Amino acid sequence: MAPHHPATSPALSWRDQFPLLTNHPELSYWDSAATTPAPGVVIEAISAYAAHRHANVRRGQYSLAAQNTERVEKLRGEVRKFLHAPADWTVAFSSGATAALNALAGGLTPPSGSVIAVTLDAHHANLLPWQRLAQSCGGQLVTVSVDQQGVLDHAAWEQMLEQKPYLVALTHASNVTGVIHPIYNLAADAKRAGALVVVDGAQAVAHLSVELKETAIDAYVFSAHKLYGPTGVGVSALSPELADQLEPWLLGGGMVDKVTTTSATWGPLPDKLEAGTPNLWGLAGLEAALTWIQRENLLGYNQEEGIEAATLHALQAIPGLKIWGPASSGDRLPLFSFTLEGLHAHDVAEVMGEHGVAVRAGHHCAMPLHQHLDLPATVRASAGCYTTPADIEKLAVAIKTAQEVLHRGE
Amino acid sequence: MESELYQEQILDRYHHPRFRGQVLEPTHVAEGANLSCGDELKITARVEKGRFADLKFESRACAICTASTDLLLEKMLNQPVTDVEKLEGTDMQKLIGLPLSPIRLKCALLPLSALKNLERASGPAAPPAQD
Repeated sequence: MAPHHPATSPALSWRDQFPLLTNHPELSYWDSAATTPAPGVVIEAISAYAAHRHANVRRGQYSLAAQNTERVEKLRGEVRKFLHAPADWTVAFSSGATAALNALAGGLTPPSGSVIAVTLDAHHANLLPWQRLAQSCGGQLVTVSVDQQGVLDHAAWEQMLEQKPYLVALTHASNVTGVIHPIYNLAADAKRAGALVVVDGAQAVAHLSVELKETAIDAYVFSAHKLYGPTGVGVSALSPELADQLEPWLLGGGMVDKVTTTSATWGPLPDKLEAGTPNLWGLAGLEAALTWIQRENLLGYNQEEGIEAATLHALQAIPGLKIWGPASSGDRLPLFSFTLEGLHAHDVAEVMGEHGVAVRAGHHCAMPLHQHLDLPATVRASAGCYTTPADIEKLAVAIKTAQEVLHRGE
Repeated sequence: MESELYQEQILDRYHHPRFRGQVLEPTHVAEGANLSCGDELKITARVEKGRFADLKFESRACAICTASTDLLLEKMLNQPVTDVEKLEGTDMQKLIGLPLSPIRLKCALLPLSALKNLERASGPAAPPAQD
C-alpha cells in the first residue's frame, strides 16, 4: 500500500521546508502551476554554489572550473535518471521549457508542406514555435481538439495521424484542465505514423514519474522552476534520432568546433545546443531540487489519498462553481481551473488574493483552449507538495467570500 | 466580508451600469479588448456638433473594466469628443477612486483606449465623409 501523502498525515508537512511559505504564514499558495517556491535546501545550495564553486564551464583549466564542468556533466546523468531516460539520450540545458521548445522548432527542417500537429490544450510555448515552423515550411498546423473535460478527441487524433505528420507536439499534463494525457500510447501512435514526438512536461514533472525508456518519445522538456527549483533553467531530454538531426537555434560561445569570419562548424552534443554560459547558479539549484525530490520520495505518494481528491471534493461542493477538467480524481493533476457563475475570473482572483489565497486568473497561456470553451478567462488553483488540508479549507472559504463580495448589491 | 477594491461604487456600476446598451443609429463605434485577461467591450456613440449626445456600451468584462467604462461614459456624455484625447490613465484611476495594481489598471484603461480609437460607424446615421 502506497504511503500516505505527508500533507494528509497530521505529523508531517513539507510546507515547513519552504522558506517562502513559512515567511508568509498568511499566504495560502495555490499558484504552483505558474511557479513553485523552492525548499530551503535548494536556496542554500545555490548560495553555497555561488560562495564555493562558481566558475565557468567547459574551458577553464583551473581546478574550480574543472570541478564545476564535471559537476554539470554529472547533472545531465542525474536528469536522465530522474526521467528514466536511456543512457544514450542527450540532456541539454536552456533558460526554460519555452526556450527548449523554441530550440527544437528552430533546429528542425521539415520537408516543404509538412503537417505538424499540436493539441488544443497546448500552452503557447508548445504551440507558437510549431505554428511558425509549419508556416516557414509552407506546411499545415493541425490542432487536435479536446473535450470540456480536457480529454483528447480520439477521432480527431486518428484523423490527424492519417495525414502522416512530420512532428507531433504533445502536452503531458494540461496547465488548464489538469488532465494527464496518455503520452506513451499517443507517442507510439505518432511514431507508427512516422512522426517525431515532442512532449511538454512542464506541469507533469512535479507530480508524475516520467518514464522515457522504451518509449516512442523523442524529446521531453521541462522547467526547473515548476519543480521546486530556480527560475532560468530548462531541460531538454532528446533521443539520439532527434538530437542528431537538430541544428543549433542559438549561436555563440561554447558550441563550436571551428569558426572563421565566414563559417562555423558545431561542436558535439550537448555543447552545440548550449550556446553561451549556462545558468550555472540555476543548475546548482536544479541539482539540489532533484536530490531533494528523490530523498523525500516526492513522487511516490498515492495521489488518490492526497490533496488532489480532497480539493476536487471541496470545489465540487461549492454552488455555482464549474470545474473545467475531469470531474473525478485519478488521471489528473491537483490543478483546477474553474469559473463562478455570473462572475469574472479576474474579480474572483482579486478578492481571493485580498483574503490570502494566491490563485491565477486569465487564459493561462492557453488562449485557443479558452476560445474553444468560450471562456474569456478562468481561475486556476494548483497545488504543490506543500499544500495542506488547511489550504483546501482556505481555498474554499476564499471562493465563497468572492461570491459573497462580488454578488453584493446585485 | 469586505474587499479593499470592490467597494460599493464599483459593485453598483458593475451590477447596474447606467450606460449599458446600444445607441440606436450610432454615428461612431469603439471597440476594445484585453484578451490577456478576457475583457471585451463595444461602445456606440452619437456625436452631434462635435459632442457626445449619447453613449452606450456592451461588454463581457470584469467589474473594474465594466465600472470604469460606465463612469467614463457618464463623464463624457455631452462633452466634446476632443476631450477624450486629453484624458490619461491617472484620470481613469481618479474615476475609479481606488489604487489599482498595474494589471487591474489595464482593465480600467480599456474603455479609454477604446474611446481614443473611436471610428465612424457604417450605416444610415454615419456622418458624411467630409464631416
